[in-house]
Amino acid sequence: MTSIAAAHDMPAPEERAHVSAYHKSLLQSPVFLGMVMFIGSEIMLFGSFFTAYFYVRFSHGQYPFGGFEIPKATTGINTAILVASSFTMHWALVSASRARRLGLILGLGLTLIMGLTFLGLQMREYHALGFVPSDGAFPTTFFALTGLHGMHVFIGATLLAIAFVRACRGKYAPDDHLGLEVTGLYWHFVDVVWIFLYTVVYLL
Amino acid sequence: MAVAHAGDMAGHGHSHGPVRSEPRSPWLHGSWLRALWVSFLFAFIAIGISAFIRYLLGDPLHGAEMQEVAATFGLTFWAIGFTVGIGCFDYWWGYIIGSPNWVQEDHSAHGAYSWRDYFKVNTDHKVIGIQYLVLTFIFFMIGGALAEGVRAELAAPGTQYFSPGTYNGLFSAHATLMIFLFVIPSFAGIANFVVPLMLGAQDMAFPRLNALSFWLLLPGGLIFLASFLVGPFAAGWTNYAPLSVHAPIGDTFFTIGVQFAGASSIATAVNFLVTIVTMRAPGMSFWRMPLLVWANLATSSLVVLGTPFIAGSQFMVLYDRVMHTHFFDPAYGGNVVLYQHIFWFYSHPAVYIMMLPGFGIISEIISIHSRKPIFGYRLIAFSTVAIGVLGFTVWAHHMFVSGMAPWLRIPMMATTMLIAVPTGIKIFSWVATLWDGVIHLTTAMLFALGFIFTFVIGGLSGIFLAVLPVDINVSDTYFVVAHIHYVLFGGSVFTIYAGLYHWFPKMTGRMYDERLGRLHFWLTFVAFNATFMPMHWLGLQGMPRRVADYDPRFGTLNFIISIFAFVLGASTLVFLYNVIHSWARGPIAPANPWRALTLEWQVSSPPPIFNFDEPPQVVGGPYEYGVPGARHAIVTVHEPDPQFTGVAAATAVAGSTPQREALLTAMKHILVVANQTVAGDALIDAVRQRAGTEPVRVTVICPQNDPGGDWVTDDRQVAQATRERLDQTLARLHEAGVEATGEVVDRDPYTAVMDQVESSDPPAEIIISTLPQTRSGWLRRDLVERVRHDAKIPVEHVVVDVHSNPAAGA
Amino acid sequence: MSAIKVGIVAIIVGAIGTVAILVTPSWFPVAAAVQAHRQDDLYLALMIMSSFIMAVVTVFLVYSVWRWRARPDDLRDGPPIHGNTTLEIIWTVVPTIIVIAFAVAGGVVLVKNEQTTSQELVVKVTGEQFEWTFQYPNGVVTHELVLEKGRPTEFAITSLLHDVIHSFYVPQFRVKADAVPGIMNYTYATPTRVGKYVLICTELCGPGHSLMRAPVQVMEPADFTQWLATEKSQQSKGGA
Repeated sequence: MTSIAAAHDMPAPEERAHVSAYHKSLLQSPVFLGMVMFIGSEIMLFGSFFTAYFYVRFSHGQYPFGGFEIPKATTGINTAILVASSFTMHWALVSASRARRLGLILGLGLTLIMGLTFLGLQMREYHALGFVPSDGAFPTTFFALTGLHGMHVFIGATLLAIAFVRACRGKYAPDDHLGLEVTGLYWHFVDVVWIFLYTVVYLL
Repeated sequence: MAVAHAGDMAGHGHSHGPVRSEPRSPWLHGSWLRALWVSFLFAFIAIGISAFIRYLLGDPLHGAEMQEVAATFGLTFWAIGFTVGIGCFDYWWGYIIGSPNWVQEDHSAHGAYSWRDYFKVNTDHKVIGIQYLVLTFIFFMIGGALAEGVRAELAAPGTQYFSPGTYNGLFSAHATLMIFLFVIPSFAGIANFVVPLMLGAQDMAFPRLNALSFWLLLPGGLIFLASFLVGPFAAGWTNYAPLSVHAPIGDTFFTIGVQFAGASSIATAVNFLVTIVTMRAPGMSFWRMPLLVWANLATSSLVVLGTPFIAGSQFMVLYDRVMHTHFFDPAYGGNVVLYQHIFWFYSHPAVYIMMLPGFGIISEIISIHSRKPIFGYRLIAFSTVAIGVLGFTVWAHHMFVSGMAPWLRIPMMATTMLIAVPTGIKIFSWVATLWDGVIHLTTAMLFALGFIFTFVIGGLSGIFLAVLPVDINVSDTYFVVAHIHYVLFGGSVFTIYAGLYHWFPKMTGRMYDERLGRLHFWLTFVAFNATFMPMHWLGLQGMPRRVADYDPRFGTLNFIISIFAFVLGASTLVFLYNVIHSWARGPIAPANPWRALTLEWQVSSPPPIFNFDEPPQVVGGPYEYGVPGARHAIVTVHEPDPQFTGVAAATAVAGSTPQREALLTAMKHILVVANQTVAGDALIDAVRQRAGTEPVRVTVICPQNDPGGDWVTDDRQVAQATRERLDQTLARLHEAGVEATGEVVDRDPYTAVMDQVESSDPPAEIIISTLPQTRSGWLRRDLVERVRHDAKIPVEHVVVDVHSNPAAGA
Repeated sequence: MSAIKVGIVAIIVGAIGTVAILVTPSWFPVAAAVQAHRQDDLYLALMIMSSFIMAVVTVFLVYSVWRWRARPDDLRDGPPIHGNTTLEIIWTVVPTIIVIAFAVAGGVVLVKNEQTTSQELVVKVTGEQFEWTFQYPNGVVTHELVLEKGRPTEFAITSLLHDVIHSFYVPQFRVKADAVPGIMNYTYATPTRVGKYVLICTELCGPGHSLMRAPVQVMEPADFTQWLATEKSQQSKGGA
């Protein structure tokens, strides 16, 4: 099954050349460009929530205002996990472009596991915080930002899971793994947002 | 889509095979019926899960809070379920699960072959454009009816027909529908139809995303309207917190509906941006793009960067309502003005989202219908971009009296006033384009000229509103109502009408009635000005907006306004009649009735399903009217039926082998590709026709393999059935005196054809036979186009309807 | 007819418009505050500017259509004029100057309107669904806004903490400010005319929005002092 699938997954060169003559003038593939623009839109969505966060934060004196405490250290471990997952994602991509199936599958699998671990630890943190969103403006913005990010990790993990299953089935080839690249781009975006969020919300 | 597109070449219809020759069940495949049950199933599951979680948490399963939760999850998943059910995700789902029927270049849902295709998920940008325009016009009519309700109530002071709460719902829904479901998406509709053609592209960059964008709009609009079932949202389209946070459940419908309309806009905008950047025909540099494309580039950037902010603002309202968070609750450290900052950071650029495409349309129309190059092309393009950039720096001018930081007011006044400069540049450039032109006063041109007049008024009153002391006086009065209607009706709606008239021949292939068009214009123009001009004065006199009841001294003027508002409403019916009648019975439109240079006019009306046979070569600017010998682009159109030159009688070939060889070589070799349709009458006729003009010999191939997946036909029954059909066909061809051989091949259709083309005995012509659109799968256009492109010999596409031709289905 | 001649006609039309604007008896309700007069002057200046711009665009538009309207079977093209740099610079620069001028004027008027003095009367205005409450420095609380002629007044406007946004607007004063829960918002007026006016809510605040009004009365200084004293004594009696 797998071998047949792999054989068919790589379209013949002339077949791809037909896709369009228009695309040849491009620097980037449309799919990649589309993902970049979508991420631009996503950044603005985070921007709206960060606006709320900063607005509320700077209209209060001390921070975290309202006497709430958030765990810097344990979340730091979680941050490290997410950052590490970006590297395994990169590994998976490099493996794909060098036709190393094992590295691809392992890289994707590790990334997925770390993403899910991040989500799990985040849920645990929510549980241990001792406050809920309706306790005040700080919990509101805190949960909104981390929750929005968690939602994006979930979406990213879903994309990873799809890529993982496809990789296991023998899909993707050195010259045909655009779906993987796009997934990776999204995952890096989710990671970068978290680094910014962790720095601003937890550390500063 | 992906579920059953494999079409007629891949085998016979058995449950274990990918091909279903029997009609697909509408319960299970992308259809309205499936959309209905899937949407409600999703909604019930979502409500059930949320109720279960509440049960686990010990929260009550009744009361206002449970209603909010049920509405939030129910509506969201109802809308998602709708798009799933109608079939927007089938292709991606096929990709995800690795369906054997999935093919990368799936064109099975592309193009409208019958009016029914307009009611299905379709990936053709032209079909989607028309879907958008028709749907948004329906919402325009509904929104207009709500406005007439508002005007009926306001015809006299005091309350007559509606309670104040319902009245607030009427104008809130009116504005919401007009903005989110008419103006913004109808520009998306026009651009959908026109922009890929103008670029010389075959479609948008992401046709399936394009379809999804459209199908998100309908559930969004229905959610808005459904709020009337539970008590409408009544906090205005601005949905200011904390009024919206405290409002009854109808407001949840608003916050959710906006998300779907917003997601639709963002997806479309990403699509346009990528299309404009990557799909331009060779030679189409940025400075050769028509101004409508420039306008769309700027608009789409605004949507991509701005719309997330309204999504964010409505999420926050929703959280405050459902989860009792405190974004906007000062008692818990939240901030009320915060909402307005986030909201207007989108909603002011939204004004340009609703205006820039109109500017683009007007640039096209003014230039084409006055037969002159657009005056100052580059400056207009620059001003479009400048408006887009400046548009993000002016949001707080909606908040001069809101209690925001006072220091922000003067910078915002300055930027707001500066935005008048690029807008003025456009106006002056259009007037200069008219100067010394050869002006054809078509209906499209009338609306364009009417637009210039009304928009200058709207733009000037915008400057009034930018000047702080004046704004402090007239904000939230009828002066503002007059201003937004001069901008959004006199501006956007006039340009939409202008665009619809201008491209009507291209979209429908028929001409509209100019006399009715002129009547429509004058009715609209007069009634519009008579309705909204007096509102300026009402505002100056101190009549606040959004009131059901008002000072009796404004009674007479309001009565007159209401009368003209009804006339304005009636003028729409003239348009509606004109469109419906002309679409059905109007005179056939030529390809280029306005003698325009841009690419969309260089193809037939309506355009071919894949727009261009070859990528056009762009060689000059788009508005070179009056320049001797100037061309915008060279468009090559392939002749659909190649002419046969040889004339000879068909002869039965007999005799010795060498003779036979020589004869066979002299005969024209035709390759027939077919499977289930192999014995179809239409196909036999097509071959006979060839045989009537010159000696031909035929090779019939019946490809058996599915092209995209890893699936191989190993079903003996299927192979046997194919074999029998082939033999039957060969027998019929021999009867007709045609030399024919044939085989069942185990390759996918494309490979099988190319093997023949590259063989030692290549065909001179190819006939591909498929089932009709509604049943046949991916290979209809896809295979035909690919073979046509790669084989470099004439390819004819024959459509065989198995149902009307029992012999073929046997 | 050359463009210059059409331009002259446009200027004449704009001037006629200006005269019409100036002789129009009433653009606004009666002006009852210093701020109102400043706003009205600014408004008239904007109207005159608009009159000329409107005239230029409309005259050129109508003239072009009248002069160069073609029959449907006229297949000629116009002259291939692609632009004119001088003209384009003019219609970029001139509007820029005009809007900057108005921005400066607007800023100056705003600053003047909001100047505070030490003698000003501070009235605390509180909005709630669907009623206005006014509190004077001496503790008097009323539902009618009473002001002293000629005395600069600062309105400190807010809304109840769990209420919604309202907006304080007296058309005769030409000033407006939102009453926002949790925020103190300020606006200023110096009444110049004795009389009775109406304060109206201009921010949608719910079903009762259209009827959320309050009476406003401007009194001579002597009357005002007397009124304030009477209210004070009455309310302290009621309170006691």
